[in-house]
Amino acid sequence: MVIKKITFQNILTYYGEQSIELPIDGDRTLTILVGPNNSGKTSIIRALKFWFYGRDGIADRKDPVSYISNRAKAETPIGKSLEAWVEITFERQVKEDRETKTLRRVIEAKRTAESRWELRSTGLFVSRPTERIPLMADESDRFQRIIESMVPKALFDAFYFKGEPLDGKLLGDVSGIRSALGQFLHEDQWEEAQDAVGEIRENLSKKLSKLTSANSELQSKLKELSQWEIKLEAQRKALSDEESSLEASQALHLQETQKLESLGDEEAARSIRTKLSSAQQRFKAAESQLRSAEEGLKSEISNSLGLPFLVSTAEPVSRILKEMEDDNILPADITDGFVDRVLSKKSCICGKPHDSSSRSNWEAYKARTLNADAGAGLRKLLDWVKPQGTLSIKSRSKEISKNIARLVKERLDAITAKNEADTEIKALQSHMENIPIEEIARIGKSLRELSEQIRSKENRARTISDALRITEYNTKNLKSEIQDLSKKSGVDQNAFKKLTTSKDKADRLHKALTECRSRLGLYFHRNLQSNVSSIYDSKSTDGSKAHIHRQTLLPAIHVNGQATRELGGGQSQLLALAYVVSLAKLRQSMHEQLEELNIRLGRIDDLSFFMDSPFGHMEEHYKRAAVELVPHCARQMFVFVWKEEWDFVRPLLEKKADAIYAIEFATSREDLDKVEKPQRKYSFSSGSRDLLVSLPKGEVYPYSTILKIK
Amino acid sequence: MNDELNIELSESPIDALKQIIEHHGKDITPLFAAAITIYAGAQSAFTDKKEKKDQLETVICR
Repeated sequence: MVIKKITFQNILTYYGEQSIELPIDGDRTLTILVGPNNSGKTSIIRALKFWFYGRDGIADRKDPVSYISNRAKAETPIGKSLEAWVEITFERQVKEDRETKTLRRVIEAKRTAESRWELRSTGLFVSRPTERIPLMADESDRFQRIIESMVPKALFDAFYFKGEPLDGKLLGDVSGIRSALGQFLHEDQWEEAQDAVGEIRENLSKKLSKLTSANSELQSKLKELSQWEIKLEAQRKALSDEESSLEASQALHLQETQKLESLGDEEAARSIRTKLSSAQQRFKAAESQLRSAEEGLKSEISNSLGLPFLVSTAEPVSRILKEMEDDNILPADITDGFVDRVLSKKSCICGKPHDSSSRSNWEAYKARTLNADAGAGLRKLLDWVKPQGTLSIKSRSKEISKNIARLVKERLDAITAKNEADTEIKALQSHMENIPIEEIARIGKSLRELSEQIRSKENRARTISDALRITEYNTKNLKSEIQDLSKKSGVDQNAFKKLTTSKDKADRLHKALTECRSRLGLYFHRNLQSNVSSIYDSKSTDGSKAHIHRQTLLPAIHVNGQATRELGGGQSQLLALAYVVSLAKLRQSMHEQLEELNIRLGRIDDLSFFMDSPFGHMEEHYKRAAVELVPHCARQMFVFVWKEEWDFVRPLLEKKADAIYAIEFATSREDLDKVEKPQRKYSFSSGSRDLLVSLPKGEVYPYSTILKIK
Repeated sequence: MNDELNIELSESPIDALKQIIEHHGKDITPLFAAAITIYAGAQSAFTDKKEKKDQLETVICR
């Protein structure tokens, strides 16, 4: 279906009758609608959805009266009725010809009070301008079914984007892409054809049986053949199921492998974990070494009695001691008892006899000597100040200094080791934050399980395939036996040959239909994935990749193998556009290939894309990439843009557009003054126009008017 | 790779279907086209299930 003309009267912001003609000549067309913000671009999408699905097409199934223009309502006297409608003229393939139809969806409401309206009716009508009755109700919903089959409701948001952001609709709400694509191919009818071929095959078997009823041996062989064929069918189905299941596992394996490749391999993740654990152990050991060195230092300093600081005093202390020695202040323990014991003897210690001065000499000597404790201290001091010996202050100080130096070095080494381990831990942890280790481990496990599944499925498929070959061989031999037997049996050979040939054809056709149906989904996926990737992946600047879900065929953006919606540079919108273009390509390719096969399903490549503000909220790089995609990527591309978008895309798209329309929005003077004059002006090759204008005098409700620019 | 067909299947969905169909014999391709056209074709003139099946049987037995 391609749309030739959209006309609406008194719908939403549009007052009176407005229309847009869409070019349909050529394989690719581009129409641009330019308009200020809130001027009615999205209203067109809402009007289209209402036209396609009636009340089901109105968001939240609101009262259709809300779709009628406020200005038109204000002009309707109380007690009078008002009509608002959307009319679309479209072209579609019917048998060999192109058929043009015009259908109008009408809302009729009556004003029952100042601000009260009563819905009288809504309905779809076929327009027949040359007939006596120009509008004929779609009584049996025939046309309703036709337009819904052309654009299934589940797929509306994929082709007729409404509102912003564009990607929100496509990535979030569109469902049933797979079934909708199947619907375009009438897959349900393929299934019906397959069942019919099965029944035809059975009929042919019965006819063969009837033909050979006179010959019991031939009958018995045919019966046997029929059993072999049942077995053959069951084996083929089992093989096809096993292969589909194997392909699904292989696709999943590939998907997981690609995910893993983008995350880093499992071995690398394990190595990071090991390194982290080792660094954490080293950190703990360094901490313990540091504590031990600091304890050692404390103890050594405490036990040193400050000796290293006293080394310089050793020399003066030696001199003082020498003086003391010279003065006979010797370290001795001279007590009163000792003096008495010496004097009680005839001669002195030195051998001289005592004389009268002996006592006074000893008493004087005793007074100059030190007591026992002081003596011990002095002896220790004497040992310390000796230049040699293990107790000398120099040796002790040297030993203490050596121990302290060793402990200081140990402490510094521990600090260095601790800092190094800490730096490594932080780096590894930061690395780990960027690498989803758990996810890698999960994928690794999943890959091992999938490999196991694939191996066992391959084995099962091989076993079934071997059995199938044997069955095929036996069936072939049996057929040959039956042929020979039929010749000898007197059965009508022409009829027999014709029936067996037809049965064989039905059998092969049944097989081909079964296989094609089971493969269709896989090829939709392959085709979409390949096309979307070729567009998106080459344009993305952040390494993100497009991914098409195998079952739902919905697109998503993957970063490091994970689906993400957190990208705000315009990636999602580029993906949405890439997807739209790929859907168009897929349908075009399907159309061309089916035509080549002589299968005429109609123009399945006929489709219109309506895009509301596709270039908004995008970084320039992505905006440029999106602009490159838009022109001529589908039979009909209708793009709505606002001021800023138009200023950006105009140099790139104005010349390429087949038609350009603009929305002139009349609003209150107050609202108009809020917009600066240059912002109201839109430039076109044909000249500039103010698209924001003041309401005519006396008017209260803003309204929109469509202008043809090109 | 499809073991049973022993052919590398094409990336294009319908090319691949074409390969599968042709694998069952060159004479199956027009038969397949006729079957799909009778059941799902835009030109299909048959609305009744029995009429479609009879038409298909005629094509197969031709």
